[in-house]
Amino acid sequence: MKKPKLKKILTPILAGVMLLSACSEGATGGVDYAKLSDVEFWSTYSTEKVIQNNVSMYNDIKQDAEIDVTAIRGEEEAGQIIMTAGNKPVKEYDIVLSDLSGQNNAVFSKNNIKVYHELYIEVGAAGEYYTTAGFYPDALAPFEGVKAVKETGFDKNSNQGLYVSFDVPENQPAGTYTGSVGVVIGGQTKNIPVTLNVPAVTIGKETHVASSFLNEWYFYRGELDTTEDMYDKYNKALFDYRLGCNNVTVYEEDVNYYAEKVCEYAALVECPGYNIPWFSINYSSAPYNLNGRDIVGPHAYDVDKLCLYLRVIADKGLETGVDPFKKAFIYGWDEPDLSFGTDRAAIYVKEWSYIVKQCKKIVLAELEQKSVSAEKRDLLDDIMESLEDLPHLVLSNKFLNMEIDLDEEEITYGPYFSALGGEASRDRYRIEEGNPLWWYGCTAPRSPNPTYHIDDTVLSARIESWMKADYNIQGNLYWSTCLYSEPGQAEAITYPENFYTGNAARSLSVNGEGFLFYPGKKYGVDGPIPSLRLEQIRDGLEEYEMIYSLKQIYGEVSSLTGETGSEEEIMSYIYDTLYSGTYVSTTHSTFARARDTLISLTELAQSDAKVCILDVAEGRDYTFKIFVKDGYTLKQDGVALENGKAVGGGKIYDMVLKVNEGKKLNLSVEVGGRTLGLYMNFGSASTNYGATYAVENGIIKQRANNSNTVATELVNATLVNSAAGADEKYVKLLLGEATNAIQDFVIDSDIIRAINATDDKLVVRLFNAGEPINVEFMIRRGSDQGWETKGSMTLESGINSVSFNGLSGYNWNKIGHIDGLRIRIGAKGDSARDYIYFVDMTVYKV
Amino acid sequence: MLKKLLSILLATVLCFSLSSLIACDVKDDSEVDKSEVLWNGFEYFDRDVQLIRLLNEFGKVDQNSNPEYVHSGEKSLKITPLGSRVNNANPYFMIPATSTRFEEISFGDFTNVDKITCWFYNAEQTPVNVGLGFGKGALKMDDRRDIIQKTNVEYFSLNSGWNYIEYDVQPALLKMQGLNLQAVMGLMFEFDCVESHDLKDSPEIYLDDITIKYTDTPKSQEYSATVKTGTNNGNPYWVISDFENATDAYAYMYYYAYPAPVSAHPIIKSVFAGDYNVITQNGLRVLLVQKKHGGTSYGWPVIHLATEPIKAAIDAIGQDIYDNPYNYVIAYDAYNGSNYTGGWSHEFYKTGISTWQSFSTNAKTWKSYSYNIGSLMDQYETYKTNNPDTDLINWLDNPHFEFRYSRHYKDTNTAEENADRPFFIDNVRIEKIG
Repeated sequence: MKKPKLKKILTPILAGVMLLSACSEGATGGVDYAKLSDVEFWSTYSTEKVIQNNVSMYNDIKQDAEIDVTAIRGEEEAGQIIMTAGNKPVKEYDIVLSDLSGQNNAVFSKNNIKVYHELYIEVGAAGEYYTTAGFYPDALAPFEGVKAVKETGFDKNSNQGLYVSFDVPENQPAGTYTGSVGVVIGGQTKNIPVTLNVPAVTIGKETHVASSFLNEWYFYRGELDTTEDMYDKYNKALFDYRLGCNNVTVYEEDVNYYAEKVCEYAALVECPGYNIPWFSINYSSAPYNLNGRDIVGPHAYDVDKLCLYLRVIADKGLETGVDPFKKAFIYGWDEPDLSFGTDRAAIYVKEWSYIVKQCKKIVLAELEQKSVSAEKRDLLDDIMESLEDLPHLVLSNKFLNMEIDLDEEEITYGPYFSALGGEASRDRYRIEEGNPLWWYGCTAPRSPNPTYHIDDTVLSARIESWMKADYNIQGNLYWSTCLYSEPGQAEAITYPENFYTGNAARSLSVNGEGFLFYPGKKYGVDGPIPSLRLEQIRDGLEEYEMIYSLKQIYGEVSSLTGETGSEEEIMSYIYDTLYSGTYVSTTHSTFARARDTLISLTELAQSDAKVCILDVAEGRDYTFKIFVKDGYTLKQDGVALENGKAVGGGKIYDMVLKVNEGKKLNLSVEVGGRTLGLYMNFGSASTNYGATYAVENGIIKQRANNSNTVATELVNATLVNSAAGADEKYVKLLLGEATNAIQDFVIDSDIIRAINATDDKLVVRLFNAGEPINVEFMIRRGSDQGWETKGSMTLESGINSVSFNGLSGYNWNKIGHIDGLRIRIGAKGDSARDYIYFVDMTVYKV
Repeated sequence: MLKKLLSILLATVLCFSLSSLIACDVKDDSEVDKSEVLWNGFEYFDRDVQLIRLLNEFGKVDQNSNPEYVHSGEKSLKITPLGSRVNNANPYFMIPATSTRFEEISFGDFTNVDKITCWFYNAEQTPVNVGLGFGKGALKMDDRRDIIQKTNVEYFSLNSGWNYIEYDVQPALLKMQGLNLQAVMGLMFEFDCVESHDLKDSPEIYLDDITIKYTDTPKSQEYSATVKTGTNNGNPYWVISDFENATDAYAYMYYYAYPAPVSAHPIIKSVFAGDYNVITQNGLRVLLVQKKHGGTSYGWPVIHLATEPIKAAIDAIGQDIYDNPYNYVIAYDAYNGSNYTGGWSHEFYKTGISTWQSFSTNAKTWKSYSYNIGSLMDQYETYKTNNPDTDLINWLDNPHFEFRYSRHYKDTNTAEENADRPFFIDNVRIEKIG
């Protein structure tokens, strides 16, 4: 039955618009659309954000319009093409994809190339890494979907990004693949050259670090679908990004259904994790005696229900043949310090931790008594072991004042990213060695800590995973992936009307907070579409997997050779170019070098030659302990290494690198007809400023209680350090009682002000003649004279290096220049100190 | 109306622009039927579909392009409702009347609205129920599950195939519910709960051509009703609401008292008593208040009687109720339709006035409840004496009354707690007892 009358008003309008549109390129003199030649094509790093409505600020980052990507097997990696329209708008464009060709007739299928049309979201006030307001790229809409809804056009004087991602199968032959991506505008085609390098490095689908990213919020608003089925699609989309979900169902409260879903996810190798839920109950009026202790909390976990869930899930695991707890966690009460205050939170958390541990014990005892067939015995053992290890996450940025007995109570802390920059802090939150540790970020902390904020660099979201590998962090939680809402009054979250391009500050005035997905429905995707940030989070996790692979291989080689050594030795030099503590300080190019180096290290280790750099000793020269298997010749600068020590089916070489002579680490080895290599720059020229210089130039101002004095006391180093040279001098730092302010000293010098992006790092060496003490080190920004913390560490007894790493990666546009260094020592209230000495300061060039 | 005028303007401009190229056939202003405007034909995804708000774990809606289910144009809305399996709550969605993003969505002014019409296609072999009503503000939009109150819901049964639905808009009743007639939030569509989380269990329904029919002579926004009268055991009474007609049916509104469960909305509507095997004392219809089985949330629905019909009854009584309030009670009959004893309460809520009374109701039994208006007036006087600065208005001049179905929480998993609990109210009245 048709009744066109009802839409009669729209019909003439639509007809008119279509006709007008049809005539626009003709003699009517309508809109003058751009031809291909009117559009500038250029490329940049996939980690760079190019604002849509600013075409004048990118001259220094523009690269030729080509895609040159290195992607290992089992990962996705992207290149980015920017189309800049001049004075004419682009009506529409099309994409032509073709297979890429490799050596020996190898092909990289176009089906593994994903082209995304970048969508732009409004950042009204940018205050993190980026400071320019504008429309930032974030949502990545599949090109075909954008084409289907006729939204490929873009305005004059604007940028349009294409995110071209290569999904490399694990069985893709290593090699170099070339071809092109065609962009068609006005009937003419621009062929953008593509080079895809696929090293012989493979990572699997499994991700070896846990995470929980919550899909529970407003997925249904964008998808117009509230079903468990759609929620499941969101969870599985997270798995595609190597991220774990939270609950496995969104509304369903049936324990059997939950258990079925847990087992389904447990069987998915790509699923990194999921939550086992708890339910709140008030035991204050009727205490629950649990294994001899009364549970009395008004906000306790329901003991019976938790046991029920653990029991049913264990049984379902046995029934379906999977270990349902191996990747599981219990996400406890979120931020209890904010809900209850730190004092009460400590009481509650201790009780919750007891409940979890005891429920595990109850169910473990039941499982112990279970009679199973012989073929299920191993599985039952695995399930019991995993249940025993099942972590109970307590996300709190406050360290709670409570005694925890890990034999009776189960707790895994998860503070802010920023809380775990120092080893001492990590030890404290870990409670005891071997206990897991998670972390998280939300509106805080801010850049330069890792964030998922849109006005932060995506490098920060990516590098978070490098930090996890470096600091042995077991998991990361993010509170919301799909806050499909718009900023409301105060903290209210209102219903969205613009899911893609509206105000980016949807929650608490933080750009991008609470959403990493966008609805896919409009663009023909049955589930979410990703953001640029999510892509980079996955890229970081893929790099984590490379480091994980290194860790495994280095471990095997260490066992084989009897040598102590790990990937940490060599990786620490790469980490130093990316961050200090939890402060990200790198550039797109520096990061690209770090990634290339990681790939090279992994390729060497995964190769049959199993080349592993087991140790690095740093003195005036660098000494490397390098393993290579028998039958392979390892070369430095093309010259074979000699005099290796035969161990475990290979040789270990002690190789000395004279950095001061300009030498770089330049290893190569022939494996299976291919030359694998590693190139690392351990520094170029360096300038050292000693204690005498510091005193003569008055560059050190020591302080306590707001009084500054210039350090002038030069002492013979041998008086405090027997290992010092006879003519070596130190500057004694006199730090008065810290009644009103924390003790510190400031280095204020033209040397500091001259530091710029051509410098690699600045190292201040201090001698501590007393007990270990925590220090925090900062820079003063020239732009606004504000202090910015760059890291913290424990000043051990003896010589210590306080290293301001990754200088070339500092956000110099924001900083301007460095106006001074500051090292804060101890805490407010500390007594006077006179046992810390300035040794020297060295600036290293890139 | 605004959309129509804008549409005409745009069409005219386009026509002039293209006059040298085509023959323009757009009707001039006098030819266009101003009495009806297409609100939503679901032709454009961003504007017509993406802004739909799903509530109570609705299920799914989607833009349909299968012509078999399109009433006009090229698209319609495919609806597959589920509802909350856990809380057994009916699913509903709202089509917003205004938008901050699409200027052409500007239907919030209901001052001159006569009817809303639409076409449903029921693809099932059996009838499907749908309720049409209005959105009435968000209770808690930052909850993980959206809550928007719905009001003035009228229920229809959709037969297989196409169904033309006319929803009669009564501004006086909307106003009585507290809606701002010039800023209506949106149109609500409610369906029965399927009690499944799987779309394969959902009915398949299509919606097209939601149209607003305007009237040149606006309907009155003022409440007017002839107050029915009768006698009970010889006592005269004046009916506030017996739920027999639309006016009575909208004489209440409900909301959840804190703590508000997010999705356990009960069914509250005027129904034929016979459909529920309830024998009325008079008339055919009663007000059904049904908390369906299931649900872990607690809280209680508050059924709030609008001021207007109470005031109409008071006015019909005249000066005597002011002079002799002890001679009058506000009374009603209630029937516990469940197999279990249930809790029930009522109160004349106002800050500082405590009139809350609770009762236990026996299964399958009618019972009358009343509250003496003189006693109520005394409480007002006492409060005003103790609070001389109060601006509390005499109850007779600003009457109000609430029912609370208090036994609505679930604290065990017993069959009793999980059972459906229909409760019926009838014959809300003021009765003279002296």
